[in-house]
Order: sequence, then structure tokens, then C-alpha cells
Amino acid sequence: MSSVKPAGPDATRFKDQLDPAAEAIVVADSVSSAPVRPVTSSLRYRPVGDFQSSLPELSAVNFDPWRQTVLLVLGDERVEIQEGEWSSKRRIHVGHTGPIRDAKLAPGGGFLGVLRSAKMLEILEIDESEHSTSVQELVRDSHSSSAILGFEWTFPGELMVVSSSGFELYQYSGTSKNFVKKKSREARINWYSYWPEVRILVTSVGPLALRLYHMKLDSGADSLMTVNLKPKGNTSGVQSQATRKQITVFFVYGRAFLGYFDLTPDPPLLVLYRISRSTPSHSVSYPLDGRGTFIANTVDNLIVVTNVVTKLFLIFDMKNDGTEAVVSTARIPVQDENDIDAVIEWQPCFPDYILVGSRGMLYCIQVDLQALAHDMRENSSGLAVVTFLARRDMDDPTFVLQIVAEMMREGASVDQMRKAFDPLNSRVRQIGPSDTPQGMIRDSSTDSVNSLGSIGTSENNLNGSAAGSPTARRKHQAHAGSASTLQRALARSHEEFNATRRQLCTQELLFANVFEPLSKEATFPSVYLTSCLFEYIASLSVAARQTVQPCFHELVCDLLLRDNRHTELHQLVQYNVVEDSAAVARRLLARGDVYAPFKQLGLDMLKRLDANNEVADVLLNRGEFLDALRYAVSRSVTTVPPTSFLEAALQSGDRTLFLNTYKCLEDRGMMTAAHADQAVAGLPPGSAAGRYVSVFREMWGEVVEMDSMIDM
Amino acid sequence: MPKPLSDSQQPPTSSRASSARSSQSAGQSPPPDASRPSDSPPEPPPQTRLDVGGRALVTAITATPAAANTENDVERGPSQAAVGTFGDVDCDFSEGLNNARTGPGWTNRRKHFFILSCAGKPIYSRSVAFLVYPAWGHHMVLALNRQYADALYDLRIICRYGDEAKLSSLMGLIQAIISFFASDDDSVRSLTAGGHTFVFSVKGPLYLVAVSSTGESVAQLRQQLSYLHSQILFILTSTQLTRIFDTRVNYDLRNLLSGTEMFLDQLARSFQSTPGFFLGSVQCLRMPARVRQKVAQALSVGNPQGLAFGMLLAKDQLIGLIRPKRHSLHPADLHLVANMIASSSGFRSGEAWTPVCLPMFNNKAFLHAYVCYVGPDLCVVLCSTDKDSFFGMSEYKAEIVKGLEEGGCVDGIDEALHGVPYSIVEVGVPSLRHFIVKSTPLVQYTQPAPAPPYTRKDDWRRLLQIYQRASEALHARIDPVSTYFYTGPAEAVLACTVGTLELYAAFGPLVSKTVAMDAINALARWARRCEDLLFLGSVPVLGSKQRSITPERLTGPTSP
Amino acid sequence: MGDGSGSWKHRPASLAYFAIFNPSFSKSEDSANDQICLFYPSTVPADERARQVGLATALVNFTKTFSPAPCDAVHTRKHRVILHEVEPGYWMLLKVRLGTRTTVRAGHKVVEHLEDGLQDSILRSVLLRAWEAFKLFHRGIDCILRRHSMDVLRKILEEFYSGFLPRINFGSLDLLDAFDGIQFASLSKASYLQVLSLMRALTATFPMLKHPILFWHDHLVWNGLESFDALKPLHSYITDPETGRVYDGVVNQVKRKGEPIIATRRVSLQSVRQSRSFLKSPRRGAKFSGYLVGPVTIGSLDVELKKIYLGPEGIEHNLIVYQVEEECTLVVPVPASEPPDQHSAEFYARLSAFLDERLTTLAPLLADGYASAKNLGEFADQHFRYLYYNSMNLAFKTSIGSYKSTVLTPDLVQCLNRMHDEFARGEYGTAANEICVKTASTDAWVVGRRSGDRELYLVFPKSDVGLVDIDDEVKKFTLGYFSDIL
Repeated sequence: MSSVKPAGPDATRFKDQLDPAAEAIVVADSVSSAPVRPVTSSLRYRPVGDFQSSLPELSAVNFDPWRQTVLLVLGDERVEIQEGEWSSKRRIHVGHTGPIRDAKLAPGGGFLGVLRSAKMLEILEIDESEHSTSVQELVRDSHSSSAILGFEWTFPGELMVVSSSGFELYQYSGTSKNFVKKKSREARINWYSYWPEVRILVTSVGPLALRLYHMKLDSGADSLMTVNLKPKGNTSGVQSQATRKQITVFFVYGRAFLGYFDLTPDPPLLVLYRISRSTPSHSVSYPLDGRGTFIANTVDNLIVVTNVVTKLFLIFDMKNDGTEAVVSTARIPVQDENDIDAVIEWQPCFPDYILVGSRGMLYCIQVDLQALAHDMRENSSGLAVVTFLARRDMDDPTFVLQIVAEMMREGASVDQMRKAFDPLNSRVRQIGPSDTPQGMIRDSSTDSVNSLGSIGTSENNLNGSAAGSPTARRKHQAHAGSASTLQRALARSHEEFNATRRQLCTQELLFANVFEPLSKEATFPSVYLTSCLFEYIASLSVAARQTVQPCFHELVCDLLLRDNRHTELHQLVQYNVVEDSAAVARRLLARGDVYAPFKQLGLDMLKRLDANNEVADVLLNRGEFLDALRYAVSRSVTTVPPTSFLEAALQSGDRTLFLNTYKCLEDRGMMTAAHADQAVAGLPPGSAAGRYVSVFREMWGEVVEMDSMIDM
Repeated sequence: MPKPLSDSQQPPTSSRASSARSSQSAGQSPPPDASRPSDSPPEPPPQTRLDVGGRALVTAITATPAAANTENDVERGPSQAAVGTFGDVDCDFSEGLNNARTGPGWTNRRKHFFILSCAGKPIYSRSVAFLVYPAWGHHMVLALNRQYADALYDLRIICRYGDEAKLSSLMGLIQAIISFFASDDDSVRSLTAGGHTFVFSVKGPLYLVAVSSTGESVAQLRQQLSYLHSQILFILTSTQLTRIFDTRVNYDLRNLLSGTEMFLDQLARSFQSTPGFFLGSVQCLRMPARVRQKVAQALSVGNPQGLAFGMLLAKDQLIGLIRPKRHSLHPADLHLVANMIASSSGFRSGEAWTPVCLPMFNNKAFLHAYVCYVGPDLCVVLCSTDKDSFFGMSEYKAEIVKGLEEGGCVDGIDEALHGVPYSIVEVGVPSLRHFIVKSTPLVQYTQPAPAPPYTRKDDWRRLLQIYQRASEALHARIDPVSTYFYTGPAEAVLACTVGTLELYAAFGPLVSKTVAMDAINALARWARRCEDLLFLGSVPVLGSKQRSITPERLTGPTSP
Repeated sequence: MGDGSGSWKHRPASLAYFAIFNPSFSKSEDSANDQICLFYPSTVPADERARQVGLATALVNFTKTFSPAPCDAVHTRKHRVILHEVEPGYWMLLKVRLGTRTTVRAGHKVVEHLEDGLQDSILRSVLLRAWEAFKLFHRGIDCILRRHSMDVLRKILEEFYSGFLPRINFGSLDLLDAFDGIQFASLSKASYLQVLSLMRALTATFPMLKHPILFWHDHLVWNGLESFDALKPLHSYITDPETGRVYDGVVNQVKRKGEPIIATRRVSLQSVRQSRSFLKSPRRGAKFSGYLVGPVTIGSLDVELKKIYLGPEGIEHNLIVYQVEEECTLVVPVPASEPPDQHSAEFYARLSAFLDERLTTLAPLLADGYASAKNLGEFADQHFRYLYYNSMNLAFKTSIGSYKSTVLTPDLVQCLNRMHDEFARGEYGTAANEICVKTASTDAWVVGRRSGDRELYLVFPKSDVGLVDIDDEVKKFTLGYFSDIL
């Protein structure tokens, strides 16, 4: 939260030529599904908002985590607030009582905290107007040593004041119309940093010692682990203590990590500790490139480290094993020299914002997965890329599927394909913003009604305002993630993590983009393709426990038939790997002449599907008239007209069969034994059935005495 | 010895009988009585003998305008044949005969019977061929008729006159096969070759072989062979048979049988059409007990000396019977008698007197049968132990006729005759298509007139075959069954024993077992209800002058 | 039968002789023995052989005058003979002595000849199996003769059949022999997918193993051959509990002496299967893993390839059989067209390593599948005595004898045999779709059904219920377990 010098006239220029760029990118965004597209860089900085940086009296620019906007401190008595989505801004007079060290707006937006001096924090109540009324002043001058380091709005109507001697938690009480101290912790604090998204307070309690706290609703503060940083390199002089800028907190894959830029070794390291209540557990240290100053963001569960000196960035994925950077040392995609110069003063804002005060811009970092994937393909396997992408968060996964298809074209081993399919099937993401409020309420265990209400409203505005671009949606995830208490975030096992999510790329997509096109290619080895298909089906039904779409069964069927692998198909149907469907059944029956068992197999399948008409037809066509009739009777099939049986029997030329058919139908009241000229019951009048009655009489009516010519 | 014949006043009418006898007298000089000392029979040249047999037959036919047209065709066959294809017949029974003529769709099922002497000499051979076209319509049947005659005539050529050499070579082969197994202290029972079944049966000096592609089981064919054997005994008695072959091993028995093949022919034919044979029981005319009683009375007055059995037959159905006190008439014997009458229409005019042997009664000696039609279908058959009792029998017959008229039985019998075959509707079980009810103790059975589809010969035969299988299962030597349910492509058959009754019922192929069971129970009830209407419950015995009917069984339930 | 009344001696049916001959080889009467390629037992004197073969020829000729099809079965008072022309001109002749029961009635003894399990249909399938087995290892008679001399042929036949024929127990033939069906492993879709990917991995890593066949005990898990018919002879050889008992020149004698390579297959319907043996080792001590066909000791360079011939064309393959933990057995016929140098010691080492790893992980899966299926079907298996065969995939399933409660008395087994014979005869004469009978002696219901290519038999012993109730039972069963059979 460092204040910056007013940048002067060039700021406007800066804006002017960044805006079109923004346009361009936005446009590109909308067409990102297009298969081929000149890839510039895997990172993009999307301006989410701009503000006047050229105001003469601009003394400080603060990021407002609750609205993802900025709060400008103008001179000593005015504060400019940007509403959510940068819709509008208003200036508020806070009264002139000395310089403003810091100013923060409360989540609900009802209060404004202004740090006047190291001893005094004033809280003002504000409304739509420009004016503010002081609610109270918190003065800390008990002992001269203690100074207020800063303050943070933790929850709607809750406040934390951090001083060199500890921190205190205040809560607004509706009755006394002011903030009441609820709790205080004594501790020697050199400096602190607070991460509102995860509500983690990091306090420096020694040169290399950090203590972490987790803030909870209703002035709760769980003390978490204490970390003793151990720089790798030689610890001498300035290096021997960690500055605030060296410490970051990440929230990736539902877990919170403490990041520490260890500049002592060469190359410097980004050391990550898994945040827990007990002893710190060191998870991984990523080597960084060159010397310089590093800032870190998290985008889509990726850790983006930017070296603001060398203007290079790296991307790490904690799910990747090894400390290999996903994207190693790429240049920041900013062309203009001034922008490059500005990089040095970039402020990282949790999770993925970059604030450039002098340019009056707030950027949001975006990962261009397609470009990223393209880069990755250079030096890492298709499987790696796919698994990496599967963890990502994308709206249009088709290009992932293109990579899958590529893998198959390159003939990746079947096991590899299986490994690639599994994440594609199981990777799912959260359902969207609707469930976040409940999340909040669930977390707000016991609370005063109004604060509850305020939470609700605040969230709802937020939803209402934010329910737009994907980025906005991501905000909510961040919120949801942060909203849930840390234990939960930590405890959340990976399964749960997936459970509340939906599949990244559906079976239909995979079929349409990978299997079907490949199966159409005459040159593509179908044996291999089938193996892959089986792996996919296995992955679906074993790993993801999903029902396989019929189109896959049909494809398997077709491929096996194409290669005349009849026994295999036979066994697959037998063990229900290829599931029943009329389409498959027909394919089988069609092959019955080549591989006899299919006649039976297909027919049984139809029976299981209760496709009674088809069964009857098949039997009739096979000349198994009696079986057809028996089946029709046993299943009490009414849809097949009796005439079809009669006709078939008549055509067979077998008089006995005709009689049996006729009698059977007659017994079931589908014929009438009345005179031949009468129409037949159970049949549409005027149908040909009457004919059969007369045929029957002609055939069997009079006794045909054949004795004479049978014997000698 | 032709005395009775000479002074019996109807030579032309009983031409068949006389011819038969003449053939016998020609064949075997000693009279049938086992007592007489035997001298070896003279052997006239085969030519003449064949002529005798042949002419005898032809005259028999021509004497009767109302002869079955099968006989016509069959007999016309050779007469034309004399002109046509006489030489070019080979011994291939499998094809060649008329496969050329049998297009697709024809089911060409054949059955051959061979009887040969242990020396391998052909005695009797016959091919029953069934050519049936499944399609319907009369024209087809008629077309078949003509063609069929030719087929049969070929067979006749082979079996009767044609290609003696080939035939006897075949017989030689059979004889060789049989004796081969015998030499291994074993005996061949049957062969199968694809759809053909070969059954061998060794009866004393006679070897009988059945070759069939009709699907009948081995046991059934064996049974039929034993019927054929009894038929030969019926003509010759076992004593005579053994004596002849003791004296002259390779005697050509056809000498003695010529002119009587029609018995065997008729028998072989009826295997295919009536269940009586495999049921081992007879069908008796369905008529009220009152009339039966009258008939019994009529029979039991004035039994002449030497009368062994007296029976009243209509068609092949038994109306009345009288028998000696401690002898019963075996169904098999009755079948033979009925078969004899059915064999030739010669009996229809006037009285006939011919020696017969009822093997089950006594296969050693002849009885003498007096046969005379006393009504359009009504026939009196009297068997006497005395070869000279022709007139005694004739008088007794007159007595019977009188008795019947007095008792007013004639109308009753006519009525009953018109009532047969009765319709299945009478039973009142709609799901039934056909049935047979057999009374095990009475060894009698009854069945309704065949209704569709069993009005067609092919269907009827198939049904009989299933019945045969069922009855086999019911009477199997090992593990007999008490209920047998069969479902086939064309019908379902349920057979079971209920008390003293054996029930066989045919249904549609899709019948549910519930329906079938209900039907068979209803059938059983119906059968018990009209038991005395259906079956001839008790028969009078000889010598019991008093009118009362002794409630003795017709015969014991022994099966042939 | 078998009612213990009176003292009686029982002698089971036995093989009288078995012959292969080709009538066209004997030019004249005195050279009758030239036509005989094999006559077993060899103790039969030459002239007797000639007699018997001559008879068979005579019978064939005799029957040919009547029927297009030649004589295929002979019933005599004491014997059954089955004849079959296995190759053009070559006839196979199987003569079986009927079993006898000698009872002493009224002083003198009565000898009764029994035809237990000697129905033509069953004997014929036994004969055909004997033929298939020979073809599996020697391709065919004529091709041997063309390549070698008659003496060589005689030697080969003699060697093979003197080993094979004693395996057959003619005393207890039943529907198991008639069908010689395949038991399919029961697996869930999920675990089957794993089998699938294992098979893929196998063929991927060892490209020349194109047609792997995997057994779990005697249950077929995966068939990589083009058809089940091609598998049949191989299957019945591998799963035959006799295989491996004695050295037959094919399987290595690596197991304990007299130990079959797969012990679990049922040989008779009347024997109780001990299902425990499926889930734990049949005998204590280390379970066997290693090559049953292939190198005896891994790394040994001397690998003698065992040839088998598959399919109607009898395509030559080299056989490899590997077993893991006596549970999973992988059978791989490698087309002989593959370069033989592939069969290197290194290859076998790699293969065994691969299989040891992958199959041991798969085995529990299969065992679970079996166990769960067993529990699932337990009710059916205990309450119904059923026997099911599907000629389309040779699938065979029966509950008979799988529990103490479902063992059948000999006479009921015979009843099944007869019923099957009736169905088999169906193609001639009166075909049957269903037959159900109630035996008079034991009051048992026996239901046989044939629909299309399937046969199903159900036995309800000692039931006093009627046909209708039985039908309901059958309905219950078929709907529950074999709904495809109408």
C-alpha cells in the first residue's frame, strides 16, 4: 500500500493507448475458441478499471478488496471511492485533521476507516452524500512505544487494528452505535500483512519469524502456525530479516500457502509453506530467475511470479510435481517502453490484480491457456499439457481435445491416454455464484441479525453486480474459497473439492472432437483407436463413475466389426462393456450371417430392451414364425398386427403353421370364429383379416382325406 | 381236402380266401395240424408260383369294384410296367426311385420292411413310401396320386419281381451282418444313419429288418416287426415255420406266403395310421351298454363245438366277443384278425373259411376262421379248432344274426356305427385338439374323429409318433414316467396315467400347462363318466348257457 | 434302478476298442490290415482287427443303399458303436462295452446290460472330442501321411491315443461330456474393463501375442481367438484335470507329480464340486507360478516350441502357457508365421515378469467376481438344480453338484442324458422345444427346454406338486436367471 508520486501528464497517454489494446484483447477473448490464432504471450493484463492518476493532490492509491476497485486518497481531507465495477465514483470529505496515512472502506460500504497518525484511527460513517460523520476515534497512546501499524476491515461491521504491541478486534454494536473492542492479542509485531480473501493475518514477530492468524466472524482470531524462515543463502545484513514484500499468501486448489521470496541464494527461491494450525510444513521451493524484486499473484490456481526488475515472469503449478516452472521466464507482454518502466512499481493485489498507481490502472492477470498450452507443447509431453489444462478453468475446452487428438495421432501409449482421460472426466468446476451466500451464512456461526443481513446484502449486491464476465465469476470462487473458514479450506479433501464441481469436457465433446473424426480417418489405426476408446470408457465408468453415452458403444461396435474382431465384441456385449442399445443390436443382427452368435446376441439384446416389435419382426424374417408368435404372446405384444403373423404363416406354405397361428390368435380373441364374411374382431374393420378367416375355412374347413394316396 | 370249399356254395365270392388256401395247399401238402407226420413239400418252378400269387391277387382285386384306389394304383403299376421300365431298376433305396420327380418342398419319407430267412433268402420285402406336399389344395394331392403310383410301382418291382439278384444280395448282406454279430456272442439291435433307423429282429429262423426315415423310435419299429412276425405265424404257425427251416435251411418261404402278402401289406400300412398297435390295445365300437348286453346275449347262445373265439367286428372296431373260460383274446391276435378282414374285400361277399393261427393264443397250431359279413360293415368272425366245422359255424352265425335281430341290436349297432367316429366336441374341452383314452386293464382305447390339422395325413402321422414317444416314456423299462409333456413346433402333447386310464391329449403348440392340465382332468372325468359307453367292459365266455354276463376282462394287459 | 434290493454286482461301461481306418487303402481281402491306421488296444490280434473294420465298412455300405448319410451308430445287446468319417475316407470307430449289473434272482444270476450315459449323442461328442484333440496337436491324418509315411502316422496315432483314451471314463458319461462347455468367469463391467486393458497392454508390449486366452482356474476370462469353436479343443485340453497328471509331451512336468495343471473342472455331474478350492489354494505350500508350456526354467535357452493347430484350416501355432499362483493361466497360441527368434530366453523372462506383476494384481479381482457372483446366485444354485448350455458361445452353467443339496441321483442324471438325446435327435423326426416328465419311481420332475441354440434342464426331485406348479417354478427361475429362454 505504498503511496506513489503523481505521475504527471504522461498518464493520459498511457491510458489512451492502453484502452484500444484492452478492446483488442476483449475482442480476442470473445473469439478465443477459434482454433488457430497468433499466440502472443501466455499472460495477459486485462484492464479492469482506470482512474485519474494525474490529480495533483493524489497522495495514495489503495486497492479495495471488497469491490475490486481502488480508493484514492486525495490530499488530507478527501477520499475518492470507486463503486463496484467502476460504475461511478464519489468523493468524500473526511475533514482535515492531519495527513491521512491510510484509508480503507468497510465491506458493507457503510464505514470508512482513516488512519490519521500512528496513534489514532478515526472511523467515519458515510452515506450517499459527500459528507461523513465521525463515529469514533480509536487512540492508542498507552505506552509510547506502541504505534498503530495499520487496520483492516475483516468482516462487515468488524475491524482489526494492528499495532506494534499486538492487535485488537472491534465490532460494531447497534446499541451503542460504535465499535466495541471485543478481543485483543498482545504480541511484538514488526510489520504485518493481511489477506482479506483468506482472512489470514501474517505478523512479523522476529527478523525471520512470522506468526499467522486466521480471522473469524464475530471477532474470532485463531492463531495458526509460527514460521521461522530459514534463508538458503548466506544470511548477512539486510537479508537476515524478511521484509513484508517478501511474504505472500496463496490460495490455490483450495489450500492456503505462505510464500516467502528467499533472495539469499542464487537463484532466489520462492519457498511455499502449507498453512496449518500446527507446525509449518514446507511444501516446495521454486527457483526464480536472476535477481530483482518479485511479486506474486495467483491466477486460476496458478502462481504467477513477476520479476518487476527484469520484467520477466514465471508460472508455477503446484499440482505439477517437481519445481519446474510451467512457463519459464517469459517477457511481460507489454510493448510500450513507458509501460515497461511502470512495471517496477507494480503492486500485486490478491489474488490476480496488479495495481499501477502512476498509470492509474488496475489490471487483472489472465492466463491465455491456448497460448500457454502451445508453449508447453514445445518441451513437455502431451499428457503433461492435458493434465495441466484439465486442472485449469476454461469455458471452451475444445483446444484441449485437439491436443488429446494430437496425442493419439502421435500414438501415445494407451496407458498415457488413460492418464489423459481420467482428469478430463473427473475435472469439474464449481457450479457458479449462487451457492456462495449460503456458504457465508453457514460459516457465520452465531451472529447478530443485522450483521447477517448486511453480509447477505453485501454478497447479493456483489452477485448482482458481478454476475457478468467469467472473471467476475472467478471473483466469486475466490470469495467462496475465502468465505469458508480456513480449517474447512484446509480440511477439504480433494474428492470433496471435485464433488462440488461439474465435468470439464463432456462425453459428447470428446466424441465429437476426438473419437468420431479419428474413426473417420481411413489411415488411422483402428485397433489403437479402439484401445483408446476402451480406456476412455474405463475411465468414465471406473474413475468418474458415469454412464457411458450410447454413441461410444456404437463406435466400439463399428470399429470392432470393421476389423472383424467378432469374438471380442461378443465378449464385450456379454460382459455389458458394450451396453444394450437398439442401434448396437441392429449392427449385431446385420452381421449375423458372418458370425452366427450375433444373431442370438442381437436378438437377446432387443428382448432385454423390450423392443418387442423388432423382436417379432426379426423372428418372422428368420422364418421362426412360431417363436415370433410365442414371444408376442408371452410379452403380450399388441403392437404387432395379427395379420403380419397370419400373412407370414400363409406365405410359408405350411398349412399346419397357418392353422396354429390362426387358432392361437383366435384363442386370444383376436380372431372371431363367426362367419367368414364378418370382419375380424381385434382388427381394424375393413382390414385384410377377414380374408384370412375365409382362407382358413377354405384350407381347413372341409376334411381333406388323403389316406387314399398316402399308402400302398 | 378242398372238400369244404367244393360243397360250400360260393366259389366265386370267396375267391381270395380260396386262392389263399390254394396257395397254402400248393405250398405245404401237410394240413396245418401239428399231429400229422410231415413229408418235405414239393417245389414247383418259381415262375408258375409267382403267377399263381400274382393272378390270385389280381382276380381278387378285379372281383371287387370297390377296392381301395391305392390297391388299384399299386396293381396297375406292374401291369403297365411290363411295357415300361422293367430292366432299369437299381437296388438303391435311398434315391433314384423318384427323387427326380420330387421337387423342393416334397417331404420324401420312406420305410422298408424286410423279412428274410436265416439263410438270407428273401421272404417278404416292402417299401412304404410317403410323399406328402405340405401345401394345400386338392389338385396337388391328385397330381401326387398319379406320380405316387409310379413310385410305388418301382418299389414293387424291386421288392416283388424285379431284380431278384440285387434283392437277394441285399438280403445276403443283412444276413451276414446279423450272423457276424451273433458269432461274437452278441446281437445287433439297431443302426442309425443320419435320419434313417435300421432295426433288426431275430425271430427263430426268421430275420426281420425295418428301415425307416419316418422318425419313429427303435422300440416302435421293433414292435412293428414283431407284429409282422406274428402275421407270418398267423399264416404258417411257428411249428410249420421251424419244421420247414429245420428240413430245408434255404427254403424260399415266398412259396408259402405268395398270395398273402396283402396281409403284411395291410398291416404295414396300418402301423402308420392307427394307434392300436403301439398302444397294444383294441378300439371297440362306442355304443350303449344296453345294446352291448344284447349283443353279448346273441353271442352266447348255441355255441357250436370247437368254437374258440367268436367276435363281431365293424370296420376295425370290436362290437362283441365270446371266448373260452380260461383263455383271453390278446389284442395282438385281434389286430391280426381285423387286419385279415381289412386286407381284402374278398370277404365282403359270402362266407369264407380259412385257416389262421393266433400266435398269442397258440402259435403252434391253426384255428379255422369263419368270416362272413352280416351287414354292410358288420362282420362275424368265428375261430374254430375243428377244420371241418365250417357248417357248424355257419349255423351259429345265423343264430347270432337272429339273436341280434330279436334283440333289436341291428338298429342299435347301425346307430352306433353312424355315431363313429364321434366328434371331439362331445367332450366339451375346447382346447383339446385330439386325444386317446386307453383303459389299461381292458386294453381298449377310444379316440374321436381327427379334427384339423389332423385331418391331414402328415399331421396325423406326426401326432401318432408323438403319442408313440409318450407311451414309450410311460412304459419305459427303466425309469418310466407318470406324466409326459411335450411341446413341439406343431403341437403340444400331454400324456399321463390317471388310475386305470392312460390319457393322451394334443393341444396347440402354445398351450399353457395350466390349460393343458385342466383339459386332461376334464377328459379323465368325461372318460370315467361314459366308461361303459366307450369300452367293452365284460364279455361272455363259452358254454355259459345262462344269459348272465360274467364280468371277466376281455384280456390281460399283456402287450405284444 | 439301483434299488438296493438283492445282491448285485455292477461293472461300469468301458472302452472295447477304438479304431481309425481308411477302406481305400486295402486293395484286396488279404490286405485288409493296410486300411487300419490305428487300432486300440493294440493287444487285439490282426485278423480280429480286420474283421471289425471290415464289418464297419460293410455297415456303411449297407446303410448307404438306403440313406444318403452313412451308418453312424450301432446298438447291439452288449455294445455301442459310433462311426464317423472324420476326414474324407478316414473313419473313426468307437466301440464301448455296456455296463452290466449282475443280479442273482432265484438262484441263477441275471446279467443286465445298462446304457447309462451311452446315448449316441453323448458318445458322438466324446468321439468328436477325441478327434478334435488329435487335430489340435497333429493337424490331421491326411497331412501327416502326405508329409511322412504310413508307419509314422501309425506311430503318431498310437502314441497320442494311447495317452488320450485312458482319460475318458466311459462309466460315468453325462451331459458334461455331451456339451464340453465353457465356464465363463463372472465379472463386473468395471473389472472386465481391467481385464481388457491388461490384454491390450499384453499385446502392446508383446506384439506377437496376438490371441491371448486367459483362464481363472477353469473359468474363461478372455478369449482372443477368432471364434469360440476354435477355442473349444484348446479349452478342453487345458482345463481337463487329467492334463498334466502324466507327461504328454506338451506340458512341462514342473508341478508336483500327478498334479493337474488346472484341477477345478468338474468331470461328472454326480461329483460334488468343492468351491472352496477356488478361493484358496488347493494344497498348502507355495502355489505354483511359471511356464507350463515354454521354458522349464526361465532364462534357459533351450525352448522347445510346442505346435498346435487351430481353426478349421488347422493353422499352425506355437503354444505358450503360463500360470500365476495356480489361479490365472494365460494360454497364448503364437502364429507360427511369427519369426521363431522371438522366442528368446529374454522374451520369456520379460513375459513372465510382466505376467507375475499384472496377473497377481488381477487375480483378487477375479476371485472377488467369482465370490460375489457365487453369493448372488447362491439362492438359485441351492434351490434349483439346473443345467444350461448355449451352443453359440459354448457357455455352460450348472448348479448340479455345486452344493450337497443339489447332487443328483444317478437315475436322474440318466434321465437328463435321455432327454438331451431326444433333443439331439430332434433334427430328424419330431423336434421338441420342451419336454417335462415326472418320473414314476422317484416322483421327480425333469424339465428340458431347447430354444434356438440353448438348452436348459431343470430337476425338481421328490416333488409332490403338479405340472402347473412346476411350470411356475420354471418360470420363476428362467425369468430370474435365463430370461432369454422363452
